[in-house]
Amino acid sequence: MRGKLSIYLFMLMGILVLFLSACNGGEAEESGTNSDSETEAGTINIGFVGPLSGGSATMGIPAQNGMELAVEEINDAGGINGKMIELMARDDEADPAKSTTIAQQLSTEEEIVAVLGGPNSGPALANSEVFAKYEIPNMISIAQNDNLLDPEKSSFATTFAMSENNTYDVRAIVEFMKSQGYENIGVIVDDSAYGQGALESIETVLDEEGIGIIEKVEHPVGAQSLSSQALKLKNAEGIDAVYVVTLGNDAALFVKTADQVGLDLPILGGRGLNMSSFIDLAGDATEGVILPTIMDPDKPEAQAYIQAYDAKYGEDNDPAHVFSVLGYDAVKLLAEGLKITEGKGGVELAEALETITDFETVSGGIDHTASYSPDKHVAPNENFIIFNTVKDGEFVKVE
Amino acid sequence: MDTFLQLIIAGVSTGSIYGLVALAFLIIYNTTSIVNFAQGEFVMVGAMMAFFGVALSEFGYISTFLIIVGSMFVLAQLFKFILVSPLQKRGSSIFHIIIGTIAFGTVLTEGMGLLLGKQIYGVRPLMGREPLYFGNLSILPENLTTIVVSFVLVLVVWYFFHYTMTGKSLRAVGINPEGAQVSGINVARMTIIGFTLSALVSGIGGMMIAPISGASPYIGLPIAVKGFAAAILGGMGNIYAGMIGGLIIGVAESFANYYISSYAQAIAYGIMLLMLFVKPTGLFPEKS
Amino acid sequence: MLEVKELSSGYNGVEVLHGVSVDVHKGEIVSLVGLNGAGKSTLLKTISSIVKATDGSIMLNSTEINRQSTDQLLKKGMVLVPENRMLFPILSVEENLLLGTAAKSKKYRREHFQEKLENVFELFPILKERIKQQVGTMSGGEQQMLAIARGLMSDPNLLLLDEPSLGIAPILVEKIYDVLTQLNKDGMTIFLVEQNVSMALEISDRGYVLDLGKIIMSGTGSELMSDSRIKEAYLGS
Repeated sequence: MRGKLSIYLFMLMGILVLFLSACNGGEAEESGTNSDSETEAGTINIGFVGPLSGGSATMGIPAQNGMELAVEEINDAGGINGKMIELMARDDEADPAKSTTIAQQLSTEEEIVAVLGGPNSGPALANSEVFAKYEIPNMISIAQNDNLLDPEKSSFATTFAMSENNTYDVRAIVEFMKSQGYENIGVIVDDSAYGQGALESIETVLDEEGIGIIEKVEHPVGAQSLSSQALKLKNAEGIDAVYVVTLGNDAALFVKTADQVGLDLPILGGRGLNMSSFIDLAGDATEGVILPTIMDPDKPEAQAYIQAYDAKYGEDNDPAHVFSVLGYDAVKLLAEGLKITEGKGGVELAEALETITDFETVSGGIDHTASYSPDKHVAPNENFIIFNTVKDGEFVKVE
Repeated sequence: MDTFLQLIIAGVSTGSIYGLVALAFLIIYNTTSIVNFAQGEFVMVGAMMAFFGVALSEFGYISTFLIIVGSMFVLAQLFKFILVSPLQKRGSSIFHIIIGTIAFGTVLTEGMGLLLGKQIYGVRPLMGREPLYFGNLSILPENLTTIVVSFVLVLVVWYFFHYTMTGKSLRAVGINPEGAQVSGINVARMTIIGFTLSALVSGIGGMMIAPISGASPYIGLPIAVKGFAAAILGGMGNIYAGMIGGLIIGVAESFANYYISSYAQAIAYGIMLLMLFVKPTGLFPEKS
Repeated sequence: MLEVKELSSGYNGVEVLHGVSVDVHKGEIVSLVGLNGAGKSTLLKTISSIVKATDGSIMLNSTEINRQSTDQLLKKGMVLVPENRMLFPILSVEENLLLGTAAKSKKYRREHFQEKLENVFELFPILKERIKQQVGTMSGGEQQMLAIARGLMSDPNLLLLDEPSLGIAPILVEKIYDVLTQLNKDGMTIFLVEQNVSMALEISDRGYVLDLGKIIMSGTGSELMSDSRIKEAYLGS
């Protein structure tokens, strides 16, 4: 009898735990997709295709949140010519094939005037072809592969990007390396499209700029150990710094391991390090790591945005605000174009977007503004990237 | 030399994680013949509960451990009473149950995503963050804990199966369920005990990896694949051999990553395939 | 002691037994004979709750036991020594015997395990020599002895035996039958299923003949032995 009782107690406890966690995790979801069941005549539908589940959801969900926040602000201020914007978010699980199917479905079955792209270059590249076919302007929010926007391709006319590409990031970090006097570096990238795309950019740019790559190592996404990679970099001679282009949790394991095996070199990272898991997992080992970011804490717009975002989604949802702000700015840019077309989409909207110049964004440095032109479909100007470092477990700006 | 030893240390620590997953997987396989494709998701639940306890609720590791034990207990009950029992009652073959475990795993992933979120979450380690040094060699405290806990768990499970009546009964059910039934063993009760034990091992495994590589609802599949490979290498019929299989794969990966990194990712699969061709019963088949 | 009334059962919806009634009284040896496929094993399995009855009733000591599990029946003193023995080949003799007490309490094991072990070693001395040996390495006859011994470990008063002579050297079969009569003398009730009709009927008080899932004949051992139809069908003369 006592045996049975303890079993029931255990079960009860487990159920309580599950219940508690349900209460806890629930909030994040409520703010999810607006119901897309009622498509009133007075709404402007904008699609979003991104990873809302799977490993990349760490970027996709904040992006969606940022978009929702922007949509809310626009609608509260009266919408576009009195019409409300409605965001139709779809989960592609970062799978290019799935992304293409969703793009097809959004293009033909829903009356969307424009679409927002997600953080993964593979799916973004795949679905942009579909949207281009239907002449639906496509605003890629986060993905930064160099080949997303190709002026040679027909899809270029309707494809835009909010963020700058890998090469831009690499050039920015190369400037930083030069300022520090680094001549040779080691590189660690993950084996995803993000890491591989970045590696190509790194090799090209560093070659141009005369900085040598002594050793480059790779690892699978979600690695359980990065000792081999850290040791290889440690044993390579003549490295001045290590450039880490991978996502938060893998980067965390790398900096911890680097610390452990005695790889005492400055560490520079890609934008993927801007995740709470990076600091949560690696703690002190992250101190002093340099990483590019696009949120300038000295900028009043950024401060206001951070406050509004954290109030709505919690501080841990996107601690560096890098992913959510790109979603936010992408919507604001689209809205600017829609104001010109009075809510119309298609080629008209694409042409309208091309006329936007010096648009104020939340993302980017103090002097950053976004501009498009018929042959420039990437929004940022030269002041997009700023550098953060980690100090006492917080991301702080490098002066 | 130091690099060599350091690579072994790294291999042993990842290998012990693979071995732990293999252990959990083999407990179910050897007591019920069910190949549990949701084993990785069991580990995931442990990792996510570690995140829930340590990071989200800021409990200590002891309370978190109890939460994990409770959750894994509930999970084992769900596995039995939602998946296995209803299928068995309908007279489904073992094959249907195995397919069912895939569905069960997907439900766990998506359910956990809805409960606690779908991002990758960091969890602070149990024993502080300072690397431990032994002469020229070093190890992260979370890796050392993982190794120690894995080996202790293998010993505990081994003791349980060989020196307790319940453990022996559980083995008997695995060897011959009808023979167990006529011997007077309550087979249904044993099955649930087997599931619970496997879930507990998985949950502890999850708690171990959360501070190393982070917790997310999606970590299940990749870790399960390595666990399966370890189990096949060691021998499916031998509950403890999975740990040896795990260590071999871990060390092989560690060296491959250093010396032939382009092939490193194929190591686990390569070993698994080779074993299936050459010696399907594994390195240490149960003598029968 | 055991009363089976109008019992029907089968596998996957195919009925094998059609309304079988059998009585076993305390202290008796009762045999059930019949051809291959008559449903003899199914009857024993249904009585021991390995196969579920679809109709009819099974009473043990005047209590209905249809819905009880096999381990509960062992606690009530009824044990099945199954066809093909169903031992655990990779475990030792001792472990197999220990598992025979699984339905019993920890206290029972503590107080009676050694004593029971001595009892079965007395009946089958060969098992004592083999105590640490892996069961899979033993001969069929030795395994059959172990299967009976395992059944005895839970201290039953009703033993259901399914073909204890199957595939065993004649000299060992004789030994096993000696043990069965010995057990019966000491008070054990035995319900025996056999294909070896003459041997079974010889030691039985009564017998039943099962054919295609129905009892077609019953009587005392000697009555059945002398029945011409039995002789023709089962004794080959």
